[in-house]
Amino acid sequence: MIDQGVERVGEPLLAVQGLVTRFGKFRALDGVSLTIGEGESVGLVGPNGSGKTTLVNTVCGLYPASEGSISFAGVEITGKRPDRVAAAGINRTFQIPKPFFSLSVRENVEVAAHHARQPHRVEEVLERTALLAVANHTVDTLTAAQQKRLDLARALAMSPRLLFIDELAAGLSPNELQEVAVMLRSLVDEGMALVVVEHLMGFLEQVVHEVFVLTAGRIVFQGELRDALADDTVQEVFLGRTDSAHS
Amino acid sequence: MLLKFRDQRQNPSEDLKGQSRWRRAASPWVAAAIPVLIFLVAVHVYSNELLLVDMAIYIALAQGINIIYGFTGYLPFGYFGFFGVGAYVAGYGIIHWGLSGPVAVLVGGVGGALAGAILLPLFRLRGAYFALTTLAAGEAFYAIVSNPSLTSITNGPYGLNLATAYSSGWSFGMAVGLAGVAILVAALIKRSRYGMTLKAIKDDPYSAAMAGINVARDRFYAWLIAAAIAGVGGAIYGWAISVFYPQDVFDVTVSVFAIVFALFGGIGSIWGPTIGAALLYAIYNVVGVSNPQYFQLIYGLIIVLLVLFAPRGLAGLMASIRERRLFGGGAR
Ligand SMILES: Nc1ncnc2c1ncn2[C@@H]1O[C@H](COP(=O)(O)OP(=O)(O)O)[C@@H](O)[C@H]1O
Ligand SMILES: [Mg+2]
Repeated sequence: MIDQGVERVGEPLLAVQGLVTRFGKFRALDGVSLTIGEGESVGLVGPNGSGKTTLVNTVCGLYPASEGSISFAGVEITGKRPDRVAAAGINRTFQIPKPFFSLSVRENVEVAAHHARQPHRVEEVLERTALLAVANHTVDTLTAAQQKRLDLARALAMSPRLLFIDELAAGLSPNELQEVAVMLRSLVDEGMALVVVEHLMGFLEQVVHEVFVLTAGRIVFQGELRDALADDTVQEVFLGRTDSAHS
Repeated sequence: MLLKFRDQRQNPSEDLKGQSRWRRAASPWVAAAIPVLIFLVAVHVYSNELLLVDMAIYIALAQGINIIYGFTGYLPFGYFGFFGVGAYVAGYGIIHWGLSGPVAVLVGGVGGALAGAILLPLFRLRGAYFALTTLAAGEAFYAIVSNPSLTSITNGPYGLNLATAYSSGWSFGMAVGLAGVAILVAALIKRSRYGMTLKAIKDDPYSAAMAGINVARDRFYAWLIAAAIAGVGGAIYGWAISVFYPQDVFDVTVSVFAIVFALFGGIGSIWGPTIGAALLYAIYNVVGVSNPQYFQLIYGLIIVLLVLFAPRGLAGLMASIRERRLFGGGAR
């Protein structure tokens, strides 16, 4: 079978080298290295507490990196402020959506568009995330699924080149899941690079074909999703004693 | 279909005619002009000009609290520190540099803003820690200014005498002007993209950062504006009373009043802090000055009622009455 992995021409879009993020003495990320090419979509999987969200937060500049380096489109962004990272073209959704509750749905997206270097059209983003019908509503009237899509809409308004999706699928109905998968797929088709943090393999395989498996702050596997599922180490991580993942 | 249906029911305010009247009343220029006009008329009717000066300054301070607390969520108990610094910087300018009162007042505003800049690191703290640390900072400013060893610069505990620069007309005019400018600035911020940015920061600084907002910088601007307003207010106050001691201008009561006035009227609204300050300061002068014990009772009662029935202040109360009238009791 032909490898569908996106070819990497020239330098990668994101290059993470030996990244360590510490909380006190605890190394939530313990030397993570990975690269993601332009327009490539990958999954980031691993047990709870393995450091997936921490990796997203650190790349985005919300957590300081203790060691290592992060570069984006050839530019070193380690230690850059999160708004600079966002302006450079990295964005993300939050595992627990973090909308602006005192703004309307439309304003939530507008505020991001105002601060974007290349703002995406607000109406288009709302349409795409199926929020146009509730655009004038306050956020507290939204369902959980809508709030997650609003998080995504806010990120899309910044026209990111690399988008981290942190457990968007959790708690969605099968229908909603399907819609989200189609939407993410279309982003990839348009050339956006995606890193999808997810537990649901069925969802993941619709959006990505390559995965990184993270355990206790280290990447223990990188490759095709189907190979990951067959891999011994990965099997142990997911099926074995996951508590051994914590040191 | 269901979504569409909810759409129409939940956001009916868009096309209601009554709304536009309120929107006009909330126009920044109208919100600033009406109080200014009232002051300009009142001074011909009411003889106690100094009381009007104080009231105008408190309106400005309440709007300053509105800007920093209402729009960013940071409550500075030590707000009086900028007030005192403004009074002292202006006084120093008058005495040592021979500045005229109006120029000194503006310099006092710069002093307040600089004092605000010095306290920038306090924004690392959240909630009550921030509030209390600013209080300590205000007290620290006081301790420095009133320190006898600095008598050659600040005149230490003996205060300042600005009688040479005294001008009742000018100080009244500048107090009213400050109130107008503070209302205008708060209202313009509220309406602007910057106001939306501040709301976003207040709601969630992490999301705000990912929306490309320079959180620390944009919050800092609001802080500087609020500090400058207090600096100008203190400068005008010191100039208007012309003789003052450190404890007169570094007085935590200034913070408490400004905060309570703003909360009473309704933080985040434009008319709220203006009306709150005017009303409560008037009540304070009718009841409070001669009978402080009654005043404390009334004050306490107001705060209790406020917390119980109108957590969003007068403005919030008005809004919910309006909504109820328009949509019937059930609409929410
Ligand atoms: N802000 C924080 N402070 C302290 N510890 C944290 C913080 N964020 C994450 N951690 C710890 O880092 C580890 C990885 O967490 P996280 O990245 O959220 O895992 P995942 O997203 O893979 O479930 C966990 O042990 C978690 O408790
Ligand atoms: Mg997580």
